[in-house]
Amino acid sequence: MRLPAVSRYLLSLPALLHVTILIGATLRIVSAGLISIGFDGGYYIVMGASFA
Amino acid sequence: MVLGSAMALFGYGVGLMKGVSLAASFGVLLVAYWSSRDLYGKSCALGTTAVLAVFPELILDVGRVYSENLTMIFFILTIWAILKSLKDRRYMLLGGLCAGLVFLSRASAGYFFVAAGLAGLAWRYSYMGRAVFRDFSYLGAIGIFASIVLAWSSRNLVRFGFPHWETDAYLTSYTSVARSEPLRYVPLVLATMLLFCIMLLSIGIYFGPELLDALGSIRAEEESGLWLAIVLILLIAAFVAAVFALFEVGGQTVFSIDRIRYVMYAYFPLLLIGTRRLDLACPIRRKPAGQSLDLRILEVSAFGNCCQLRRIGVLLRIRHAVAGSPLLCWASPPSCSLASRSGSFSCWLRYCLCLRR
Repeated sequence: MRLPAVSRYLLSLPALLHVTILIGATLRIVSAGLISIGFDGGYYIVMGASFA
Repeated sequence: MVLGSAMALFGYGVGLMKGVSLAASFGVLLVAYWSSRDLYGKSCALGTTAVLAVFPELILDVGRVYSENLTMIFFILTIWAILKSLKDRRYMLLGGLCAGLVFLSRASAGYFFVAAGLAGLAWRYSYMGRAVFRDFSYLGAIGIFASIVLAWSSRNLVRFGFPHWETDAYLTSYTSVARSEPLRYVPLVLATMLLFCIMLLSIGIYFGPELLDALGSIRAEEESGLWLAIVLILLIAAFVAAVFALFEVGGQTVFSIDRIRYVMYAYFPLLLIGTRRLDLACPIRRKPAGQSLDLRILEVSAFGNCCQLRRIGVLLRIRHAVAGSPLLCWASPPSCSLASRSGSFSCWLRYCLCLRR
């Protein structure tokens, strides 16, 4: 039995790799949204201001 | 300069800095896909981009607003231009420009990149002989790279006065101390090289047959160029990271997973070697038995990064075991130890998002 094109795509390796890239992109957005831990804001404000 | 330009346009703010960092991180994915597609086709591009998309340090550095994502963009473009120049030498002009931008974007490496540039020149000399000094494209690339280095050094001298010509006075001061104390510095360089080799192998192990094939034809220009990129990054990263480990105030831990950010640029040429034979158009069931590259790509993108943390975590446990040694006695930052004790997905997620405690 031949599966519909969408189903064939969803079960394929390219689809899994596309989902992996999507997960990576989502995590980047979440990482940018987290302000508290690991952000050396003071340093970058001074450095950016000196260039600006 | 990138942050400064954004601030000049939109004003100061943490949100703006995070936004610039996020844009740079998306830029890595776009540039990695576009350049690897141009070099080796769509399948290679998809495999390479998928692995880089879930690479934990690149995600972590979005939140930290570190310059790694920006450097990665220019490094990928440099590799792309150099490989393209093997067929059309005019691409070397772009290679020189991108190498100069890598120099500007990675302050902590600074003049170590000049040594890398000389190594690249020696590589071309070994294939072209003296013709490399008569070729307009190569002379132009050298000129562009040297102009960027000289312009930036001159700017520093004008702004801060002699002898502050260096990109990063902080690193330069420690490098001077390192040169004067080779007996303390060299063992740490070797230890850092060992760590970086393990870090590269943690992903490279998935592409064993491809890497061995590439090593077998190392005399070919393209193969030697890709391997040179990997080895140069490893060496430069080891020399820089060892300086920070030994002489920086407070010191950095030698065997720390966070140090992967010094060597992670080498993953791009490594992934190119590993994924360039991938053919996603052909279903797995129609491929000859034993040709499992598709599954290995999936494995490394889905599980490789978790397992990578676990493998490096083994090293960290060794470090804890020898914590009394004077060579390895620095305190472990909490950011590096907890996340690497197991290879689970949640562990990887906590590392990516700084949720380690």
